[in-house]
Amino acid sequence: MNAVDRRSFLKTSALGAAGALLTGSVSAQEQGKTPKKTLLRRTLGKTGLQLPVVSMGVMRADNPGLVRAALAAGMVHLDTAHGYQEGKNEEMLGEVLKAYPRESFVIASKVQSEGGGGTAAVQQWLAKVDMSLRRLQMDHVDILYLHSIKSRSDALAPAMLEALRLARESGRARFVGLSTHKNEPEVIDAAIESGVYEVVLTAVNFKQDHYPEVHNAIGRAVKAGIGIVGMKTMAGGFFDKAKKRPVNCKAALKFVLQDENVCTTIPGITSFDQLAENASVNEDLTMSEEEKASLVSGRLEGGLYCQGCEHCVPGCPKGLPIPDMMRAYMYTYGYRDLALAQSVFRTLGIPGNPCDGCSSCGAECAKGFDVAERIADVSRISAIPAEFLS
Amino acid sequence: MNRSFCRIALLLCGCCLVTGPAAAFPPLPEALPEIPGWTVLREPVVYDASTLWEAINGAADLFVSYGVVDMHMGYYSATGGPEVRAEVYRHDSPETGFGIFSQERSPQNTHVAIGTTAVIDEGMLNILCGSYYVKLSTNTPGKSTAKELTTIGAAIVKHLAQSPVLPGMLAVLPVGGRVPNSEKYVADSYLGYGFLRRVFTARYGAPEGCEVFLIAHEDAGQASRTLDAYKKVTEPVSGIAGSGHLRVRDEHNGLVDLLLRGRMLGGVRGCPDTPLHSTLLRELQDRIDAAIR
Repeated sequence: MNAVDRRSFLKTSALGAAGALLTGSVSAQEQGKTPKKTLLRRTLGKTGLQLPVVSMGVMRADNPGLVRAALAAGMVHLDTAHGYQEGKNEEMLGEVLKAYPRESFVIASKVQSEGGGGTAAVQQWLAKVDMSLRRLQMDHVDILYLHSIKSRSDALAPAMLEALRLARESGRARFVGLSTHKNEPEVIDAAIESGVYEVVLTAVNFKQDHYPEVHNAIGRAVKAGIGIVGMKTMAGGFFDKAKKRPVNCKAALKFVLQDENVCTTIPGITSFDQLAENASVNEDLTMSEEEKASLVSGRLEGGLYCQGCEHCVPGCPKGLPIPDMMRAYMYTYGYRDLALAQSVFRTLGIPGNPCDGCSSCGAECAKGFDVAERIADVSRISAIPAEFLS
Repeated sequence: MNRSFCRIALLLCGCCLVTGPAAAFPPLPEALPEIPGWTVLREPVVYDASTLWEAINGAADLFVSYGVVDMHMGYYSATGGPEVRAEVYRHDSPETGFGIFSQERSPQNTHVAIGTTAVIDEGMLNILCGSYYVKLSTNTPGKSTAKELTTIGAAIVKHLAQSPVLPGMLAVLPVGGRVPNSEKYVADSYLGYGFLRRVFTARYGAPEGCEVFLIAHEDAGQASRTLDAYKKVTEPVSGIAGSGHLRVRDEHNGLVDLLLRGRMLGGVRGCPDTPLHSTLLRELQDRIDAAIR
């Protein structure tokens, strides 16, 4: 977006600052004008919150001006966490938001469990919640997530369910939820089973191999009244480690939002240009053929990086630790760190090419890597004396 | 023979030579050293940029934007002492290592003399050590943990064997009135603009007071193009032709005074028309001129 476009966006969005949720907000009062553009909004499950389809992930932003601009653009739902920037992210938000009426924005934060159970775990978690509230200069958050849940058992841990109940009953949070970016379908189903969680913040993007399972689990959650917030929608922002092939971010956002069960998304925003680009999705979710093609072609190219899914492992007659060797391949060609790649091979105790003697390769890669070729290539590093690589 | 062999080895692996040597890293799994009196509780785990989120969730995005290469994580324990979580982040340069360290420390933290620089707070010790950022933390309640944290921190710093030198650009920033622990390195999108990258900043007078910033470009042409990009999104207020001094009004960041000196673009913001502002602008210009002379 060029400067003129960006500037006109900021001015226009300031006019459209007042969303339905922003009744009496600073922005609306300051502008005193009728919104010109209609933001697309969806309802967050049984919470009843009406949120714009694109919200602001604040995790990387340390510029108060950016938060103010996001609010002015109608992105009234802001997502942070107890652990971001050692708490400074919440502190920055607290400083900005104290100038706004409390009802004019929706703030979500996440607090991770330290593990363990019983009263001690409950009190420890609630103490962290209280610390977040102090940093935010608020007496409550709108959505409080149990952060980074990776399994059914973690989602249903009795101590954490009790902590969440207490957080809600004590008024620290209006609604409680969990966040997950691993084993999402299992975790989402556990959230439904619990009867406690009202919101699920889940990783969901066009690059997920298990996207159909995530999509279906989201559908089940919505039927149960749980509101869905999508994260990791940009799938890292690039198709390659060298960051030469950026993901079409608008296309990636629109892809996720084609599923009407996803209420909103929280892409990380660090610049006004990103803000303008993401805000435009709040007005139009139509995917062009070019946008669709950009996601498909980028995904098919695969890249350097093994996802560690172990799909290949059963097919190898020698039972080789292929994901580890693919990691060494990544160190060699991605990071250009030959010493690190060699140390991986030495740790594995693999001399020479372990594929020697195999006439064909049964190790099939879910990403389409030629496993045998890559192993033959990178295994040569084990023959190099370490002193040449240090 | 050695050089030839090394070249052949590199060709065999088909690698492009990187510009500038990557920081050496102890081989796996020895990044976390043995420490007398302490036990490593669990096998250390190594995360790279693509898996770091498994350890630190959404905070990983910030580390990735600051060039994290990998992170070794483990836990230390001593009889009767706290359990300490150790995270050793390797970044791709001393600047990015300092950058992430600076993003996570606060002027309210207490400085301690470990590594290149370090800050300590209740239950945590953050250390910059060359290109490495070391975070030690404990949730063990009821214990005074500063001594334990500094013991472990010092051992890891010794093990990493890095040169304890701060990025040279910090020396160009004005000295008088600088708020301790306020220096930062911002990798990208300073002030919310994608074209303002690799920026060193510091606060003066008070933690939320005047901010001085400085960007070193490859050449004067690049610095001039950065200034032009900023001028396009701001409104000029005043300037002295040929002086390299310009004041602009930034609708999101207020009045900003800019200095273009050769390949350096610097500025002062946050306290216009105060005596401190004028002093900082003069000192910044003098120090830039001395640096590029």
